[in-house]
Amino acid sequence: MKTNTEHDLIIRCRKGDEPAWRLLLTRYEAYVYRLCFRISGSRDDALDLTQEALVKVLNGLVKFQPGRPFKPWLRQVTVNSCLNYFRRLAPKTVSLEQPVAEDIVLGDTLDGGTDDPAAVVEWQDAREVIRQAVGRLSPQQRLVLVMRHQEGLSYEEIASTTKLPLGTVKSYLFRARQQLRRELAGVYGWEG
Amino acid sequence: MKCSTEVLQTFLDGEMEPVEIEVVRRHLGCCPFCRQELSRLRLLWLELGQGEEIEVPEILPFIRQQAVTRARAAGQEVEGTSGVSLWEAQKLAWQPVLAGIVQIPGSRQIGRLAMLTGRGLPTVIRGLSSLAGMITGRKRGRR
Repeated sequence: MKTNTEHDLIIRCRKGDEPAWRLLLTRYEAYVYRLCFRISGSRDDALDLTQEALVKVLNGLVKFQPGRPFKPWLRQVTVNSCLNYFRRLAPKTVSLEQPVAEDIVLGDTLDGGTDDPAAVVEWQDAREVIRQAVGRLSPQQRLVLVMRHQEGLSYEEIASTTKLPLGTVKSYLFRARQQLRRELAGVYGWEG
Repeated sequence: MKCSTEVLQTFLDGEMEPVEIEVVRRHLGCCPFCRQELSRLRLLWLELGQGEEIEVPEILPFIRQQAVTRARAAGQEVEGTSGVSLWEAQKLAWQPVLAGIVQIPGSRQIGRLAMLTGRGLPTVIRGLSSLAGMITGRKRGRR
């Protein structure tokens, strides 16, 4: 009789059992899609990335040790797919992380908004403002932000999952949140 | 401790040693600016932790099917390259013979080739011609 505990399912998947593949993907595809969406910020990219990640999961299961927790491994495979995607995209875009001078990056030089007191202040939902601001972050910043605030990983765990140096993880994280904090300041009228 | 938003971020992330936490707590006790900044950052943490509800697209089962198809194809590719099948092995083994047969232009030319190459005539062709001779000899014998 076939059992469908995660362990048994993975054992069956490793043997190339296609119904088991489908069952495993059915369980985790929504999680993978949401993670890809949060990291990429686009539905179409998230769908492509999901397919890429799912293929890698199925083909990479032979390397997975069945006794270990599956979700961190799945997250790792998904993040790798996203990172490869960013690398392919890299020549087409100019990152706001690009340094323009010592301790100054391109993103810091951009105008944060108008200082005109006559400008009409519209009420904006803070969550929507944050959502849009997250969408404007660099993919790497978005990635570490998702790993920290959605996946609840520590700095070390993020560094290990993304293969980024620990200092870079902290730097992306601090800079991203500084930018988001500035956006929130605009919503709530904070000074300083 | 100097006022630092990075330190406050690390504090909120819970990535500090107990000694460092104590230093920050003491600083917060006497710095209204950092207390205010901490409460603002807490609001941001709250927003980031909420996360938007992401709707799963209806196309996802199709994506799953495509992933299965691609994974199966990739698996077959790996199997194909990992070893040589029986048929492939046969083709490889018979390649010199097939090449020899293709090169046979006709009896007169074989003779000329034999004169030119002498003992250097490929053994495959010699084998084939002797085999052909045996077959025709048997047929004649039956008649």
